[in-house]
Amino acid sequence: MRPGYDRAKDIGLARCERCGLALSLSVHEQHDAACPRCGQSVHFRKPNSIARTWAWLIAATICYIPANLFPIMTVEKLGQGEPSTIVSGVQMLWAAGMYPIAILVFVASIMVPVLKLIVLTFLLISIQRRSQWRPKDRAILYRITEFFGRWSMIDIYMISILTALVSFGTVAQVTPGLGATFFAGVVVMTMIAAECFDARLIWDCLEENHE
Amino acid sequence: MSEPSKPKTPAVPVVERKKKRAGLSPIWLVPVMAAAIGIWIAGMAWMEQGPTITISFNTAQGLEPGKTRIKHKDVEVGKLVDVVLKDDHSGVVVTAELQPRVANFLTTGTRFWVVRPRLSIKGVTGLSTLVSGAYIEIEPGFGVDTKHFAGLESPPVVRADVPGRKYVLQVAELGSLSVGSPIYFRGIQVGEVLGHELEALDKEIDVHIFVNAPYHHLVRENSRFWNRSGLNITLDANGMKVKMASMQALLVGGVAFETPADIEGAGPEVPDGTTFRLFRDRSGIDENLYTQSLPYVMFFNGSVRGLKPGAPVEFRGIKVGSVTDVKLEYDAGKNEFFVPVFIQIQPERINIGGQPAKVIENLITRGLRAQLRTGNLLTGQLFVDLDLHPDSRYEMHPDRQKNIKEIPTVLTSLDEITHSVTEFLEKVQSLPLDTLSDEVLKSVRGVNDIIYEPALKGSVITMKNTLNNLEKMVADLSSRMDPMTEDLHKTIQAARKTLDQTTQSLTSIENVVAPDSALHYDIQQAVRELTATSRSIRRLTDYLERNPDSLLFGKGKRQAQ
Repeated sequence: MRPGYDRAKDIGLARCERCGLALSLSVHEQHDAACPRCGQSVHFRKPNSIARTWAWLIAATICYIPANLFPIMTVEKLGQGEPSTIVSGVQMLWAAGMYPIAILVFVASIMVPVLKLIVLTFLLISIQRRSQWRPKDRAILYRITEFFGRWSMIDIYMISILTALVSFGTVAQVTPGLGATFFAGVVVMTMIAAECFDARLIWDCLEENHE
Repeated sequence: MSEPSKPKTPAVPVVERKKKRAGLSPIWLVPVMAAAIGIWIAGMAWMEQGPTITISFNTAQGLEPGKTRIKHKDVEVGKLVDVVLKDDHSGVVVTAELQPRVANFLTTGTRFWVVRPRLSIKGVTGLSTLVSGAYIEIEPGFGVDTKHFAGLESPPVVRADVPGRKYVLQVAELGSLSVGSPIYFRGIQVGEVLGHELEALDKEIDVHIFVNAPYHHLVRENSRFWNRSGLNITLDANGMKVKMASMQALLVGGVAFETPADIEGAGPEVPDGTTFRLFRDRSGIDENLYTQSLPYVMFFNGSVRGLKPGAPVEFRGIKVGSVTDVKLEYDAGKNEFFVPVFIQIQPERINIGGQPAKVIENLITRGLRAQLRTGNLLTGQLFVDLDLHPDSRYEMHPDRQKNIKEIPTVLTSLDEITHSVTEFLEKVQSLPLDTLSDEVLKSVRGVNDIIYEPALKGSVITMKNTLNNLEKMVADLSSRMDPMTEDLHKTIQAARKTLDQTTQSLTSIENVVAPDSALHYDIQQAVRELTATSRSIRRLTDYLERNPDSLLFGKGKRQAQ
């Protein structure tokens, strides 16, 4: 039963993700086919997408805990200074009256990663449950997630730049903490997770439910 | 989708089949590894979680939770996490998290103090904390494990890891000693004063000192400590003494000690915390070596100006004790002032056989008296001189001091002089000088009258005439003497002639009777003849006596028969 749309998969077509060549692929051969033009393996859907997304997502979630518990960086001015975690950094900025920056750091460093984790988890669960709930909105949600995810790296960039720039010995020094490593891990792993996620699956379950 | 596009889509020409492995995808290694790393990191963090301790301070000056570090030898070993007021608001309690590697530091002997910039006479410390902020220094000690500490308000003078020993000095007055005052041994700085405490009002001050290794071997049982505070000027009966130590000692005071190594050798070494006496000065040591002291009181009649506590009490010039107190008391009953002078006699200074108190009592009955004497003419310092004045009278004042024995006094030598002079003057004053002078005047007048009498004048003139007559007579006499003298001269000449003749006669006599003279020989011959004659006569008489008949018959006949 098809509610008016044909899927490429349904008509035996697959698109090489690297060179864009359209290939006709038998349903049974959907795995381990290679693109005749560029040699990239061709699939109807990203292989093992849900498991891989889950794996990266779980790894990211695990890393998120130490990322918040450990200090991400230590700013020392004239020998004074203490390591600050993400949350305490935001608090410090807020207490210092730098509200816009505080909000920016809060959004980029706390909200976005958390939302990303939540959204991806939600999407994965909804697909596994073959949910048919507002597939279009979920697709938009995924796209937003994928787009904003990389902005979380702004913290890491900031830390790396500060570390490189502010290095005046005892006068002022910025040293990255262990939290930064984990935080970078979280961002990278959520990005990989988002990359592994195949948004078409949202629609697939819609189709397959109708079948 | 429409059909026409279909021919353009190539069929997959190559299909490389791989055996699809059943079971878990290797992608699950990612979260497993993430979890493993997470657990490992968490484990590390948990392992690094050190003990949490509390330290109490008087003030939280410079202490900031989360920022203030705890350091040992400038290595960070922990940090402050919380600062709260004590319940009774008497101070603050800070909570600190330490690294696990210093967990074994946490014993009752461990000390904490806040390192702040400090300015003292000995120098400036903690300057680095001006920029870096204060930090808490931890110094490991020994003792029982604990988690609650009382912080020191000031850094300890000597670190626990410095080898050496601590001692306690007891002193009545601290003087210029303070924390960090140096300890000297023959001028070498060997230690420092750690601090001092006064436990009770009637107790002596305990001064804690630290002597660095290896000098703590110099502190022995018989070591003596004295105050070597900067400038020491003493003005006593012996004159003025000025002693000056180093500049540092001048500013912060100091303690010196010596260990007398006499014939018996230095005493054994003493353990940590041994208590010594701290003497006021070097000479004070000898003073206080005498443990026994007998108190006595004396009452002087004269002024005691110049007599101070500490003035020596001497017996024939040898110090036997010292003055402890001089007072002025008033006896309301008799309405008179008296000055009791309290002294202590140290019998150990003297070789007294027997009970010292008894001996002194005996001596008093034999005339032991005290006398004030000037020790230093320049300063007028007095000292008490004891000596035997067997003939002096004395009075005791048993009513004045009931519990202290009294040594009777005699007048001061100066007093004595004054006294005699006064007495003399009094006698002079009591002489009837007016009448005396009248009498003298009268006799002088009488003499005058006699001198100016006219009769006296007449007699003088008569005397003059008599003298003139006498003179004439003498002249007359001398004029008569001349002829007489001539006669005398002649007579003498005649006498001389006679004498000469006599001498001649005698000489000739002498010649006649000389041994070699002929007369002398003749006489000798004659005498010999005479002797022989008398011998013949004797023989004859003997013969006649034996042979009386020979007178009749002759000599020869008889013999022939």
